[in-house]
Amino acid sequence: MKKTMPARYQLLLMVMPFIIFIFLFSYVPLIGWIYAFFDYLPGVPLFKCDFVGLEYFKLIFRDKINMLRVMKNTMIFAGIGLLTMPLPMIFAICLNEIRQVRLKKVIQTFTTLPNFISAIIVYSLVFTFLSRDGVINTVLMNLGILSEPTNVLANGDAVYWFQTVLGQWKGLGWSAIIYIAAISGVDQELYDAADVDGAGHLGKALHVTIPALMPTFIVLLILGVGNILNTGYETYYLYKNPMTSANIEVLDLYVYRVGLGTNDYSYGIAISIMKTFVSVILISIANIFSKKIRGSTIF
Amino acid sequence: MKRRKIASLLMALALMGSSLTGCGNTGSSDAGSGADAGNAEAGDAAGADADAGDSGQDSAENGEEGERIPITIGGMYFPVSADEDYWPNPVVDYIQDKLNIELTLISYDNETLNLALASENLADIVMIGPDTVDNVLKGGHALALDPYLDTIGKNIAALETRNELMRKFKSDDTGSLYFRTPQTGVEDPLNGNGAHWSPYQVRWDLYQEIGGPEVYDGETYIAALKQMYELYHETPDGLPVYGKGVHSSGGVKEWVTSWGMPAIGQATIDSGGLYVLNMRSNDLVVDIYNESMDTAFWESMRFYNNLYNENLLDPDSFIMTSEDLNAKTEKGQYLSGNGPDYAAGSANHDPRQAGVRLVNTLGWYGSVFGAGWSDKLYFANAKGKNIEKAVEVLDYLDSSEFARITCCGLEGVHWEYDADGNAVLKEETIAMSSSADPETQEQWRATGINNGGIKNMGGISGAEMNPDGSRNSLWISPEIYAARQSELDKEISEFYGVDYIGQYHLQKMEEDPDRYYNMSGYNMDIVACMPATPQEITRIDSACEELVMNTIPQLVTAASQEDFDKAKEELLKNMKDLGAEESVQWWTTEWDKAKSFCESIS
Repeated sequence: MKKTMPARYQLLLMVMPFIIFIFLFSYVPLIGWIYAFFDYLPGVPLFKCDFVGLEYFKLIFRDKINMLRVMKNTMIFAGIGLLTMPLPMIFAICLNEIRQVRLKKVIQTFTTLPNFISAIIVYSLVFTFLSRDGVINTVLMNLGILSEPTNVLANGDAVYWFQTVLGQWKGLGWSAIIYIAAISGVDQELYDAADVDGAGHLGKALHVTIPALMPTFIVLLILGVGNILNTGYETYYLYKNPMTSANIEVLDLYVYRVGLGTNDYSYGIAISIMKTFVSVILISIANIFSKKIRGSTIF
Repeated sequence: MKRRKIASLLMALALMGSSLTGCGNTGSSDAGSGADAGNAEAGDAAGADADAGDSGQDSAENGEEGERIPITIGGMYFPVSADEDYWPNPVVDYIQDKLNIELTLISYDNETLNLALASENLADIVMIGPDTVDNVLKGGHALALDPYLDTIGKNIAALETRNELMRKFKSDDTGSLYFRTPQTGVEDPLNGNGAHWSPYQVRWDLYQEIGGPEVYDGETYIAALKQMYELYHETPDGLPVYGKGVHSSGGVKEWVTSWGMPAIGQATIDSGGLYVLNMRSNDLVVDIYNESMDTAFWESMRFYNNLYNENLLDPDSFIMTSEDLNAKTEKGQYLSGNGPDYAAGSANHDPRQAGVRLVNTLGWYGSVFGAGWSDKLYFANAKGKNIEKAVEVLDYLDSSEFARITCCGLEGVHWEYDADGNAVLKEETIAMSSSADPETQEQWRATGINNGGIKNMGGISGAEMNPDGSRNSLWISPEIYAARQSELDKEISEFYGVDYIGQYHLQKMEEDPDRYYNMSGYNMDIVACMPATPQEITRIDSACEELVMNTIPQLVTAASQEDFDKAKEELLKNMKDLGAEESVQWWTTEWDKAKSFCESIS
């Protein structure tokens, strides 16, 4: 009788590349954490650099002015991110209500596409449309709606809502995919039962769809809480200018500026280490809360 | 079913194989960060160097017969030889033939240089700034040149003042000579660059239309801009026109160098622009953390505030990059030009619409660099594959011959000795250099003469005397300056009543030396004598610069003097909280020491 490889080994083989990828690009670089304990100068071997112990970690607390500012911005963006987490789910539910399949596919495609557009191209488009001499201002001024051009890119007070809108435009469709997949897995009989009970579209959404999506939502929420400090930096880097800097510089961007901009690698790494520990603590707390409230955890 | 299992197994293996291959190191190009072209060049050049080096290892240092030794020269924001339109050109060919080398230029930026240092993958010859000296010396990257000075390093040895300063201040207290700097000696004393770095930029045709009023300070300049604005406040395409624009991608320095620095004669000396040098007294000026308004930064803020309140400053100045600024300049949206030289605008524009610099009280010429351009430090890579050849190249960079050929081209081809034995440029060379014909201009570029990327590596300035009794640069002559002028230049010269534009400042300096001055009193050598900035001070300066940059909009857009003073007060308070006083203490103490030393040896 021919021997075939057991299914579990085949599955393991299929997941191996990703495990190797995660190990190489997420765990191996942790060796670099050691630089946070030395006064590292690029080009000087580590053993020749001065060992400073926890000095750079202490510097985080001495650097109060900058750290408080970037933490404030990070928490605001993260908070807005958490508050807007239901939006992809609501969008997926609304999309599910569309009966015409073709129309549904078109909407889904157009809302997902922005996710694939590079942030730099998005910035160029935004600048073209929204700058003082941009298309929107020109049109509105020609129509007499505006007497003077506005520049949202130079408005520090508009940073939070503008970045949120931009983020939603870019990511809403993509984030909704996981909910769309979850909705497709809901048993049709539940909807039929709801029909029998006289539930309308809203009733079915509230009593069938949303409860079915809750496990997915909770998992993403826990992961979101854990990533509260990982707001990324690319988008904020592009839109940062002297007018918006005070409100747009998040922790990741500050680490980039400090670490790579001023060659203060050790300090940048120290901040990243602290950020990692805080994120692990947050995700653990969120996990515990999930266990207490829903009886299930993700790890 | 069986086929599906085999297919899925093969796909899994392929995935594994591709991820492992992708993780493999294929050389420097994989160690590069992002898609930086300079880094790719560094990788390519290093790879080429490695390939040639392999054969080099099999042969003597001078290479096998007929084989050139590859030498790479890398520097911060260097031109990249692979990107040059004409490479190699006759000048580079001559150098390569003479030294039996294959020369490649590569460009580093901050990140790629750090990466190259950390991975010990530097070019054979590297140019760095003062802040990287410690990294290079402590890491053992720089070759000590002393053993070579009597043999293949005689030209290096000849520049004694420079070498003395390098040994004392750039040797990690070892007293060895690791670095050489370019352009020692006097800068052009005849002001061939005209109104270089003047802050008074105007669109020439409009300036003439308003009668060419005298412009000598912020008030008269803004008055002229206002008059020009009345004539031209919208482009033919309907875009708004502004008096001036500034881009913010250059940091605080951009705001300071575009106005305050040339307006009141204070030069920036550090990367952040927090400190400037008074060009007449050579005293350190604390530019920003200062109650006084008589510093380059506060002069800039006062000027730009006035300009803004007259609606003449482009409001996008706070968010523009240099590319945005250049694009707007090309579209004709400014009444002034941009950059240190004439900004001619697009090819469709009338040349008279160029942004022209009016002669300033400060003439940007005549400096004497005993220690050369000390913010550009060249060293031979101690871990390079062709160390002796690299030293030979460094030595050649310090020769008079290098200065002559990079400024003037090849003997017999571009210049010659006349009947009296004086070196003179050929008429056709002069004609080619100033031709307005596009084809001739391409031919001129192809010669490689006066190519800044190569020429500025030279250890001796063009204005210094060559052993043959003429200057290294034969271009330095009033007759040649006059002959090389474009039609616009001639019109400007006529406006000033001189043969060439720079002559006007020379005349004014004689007539009114209290008001008109050049850079002959400016002692850049003090910068060479400064120690590397400690990390803590760099951190404070960097934080302060960020704070200042974010406060500039408030200062510039202040509607009243009260608002301006309030914003300034808050800025100074915040800078104090960031540790500005500690930075000021360090800078002033070290500057005074460096200045005292320079004065003692002068």
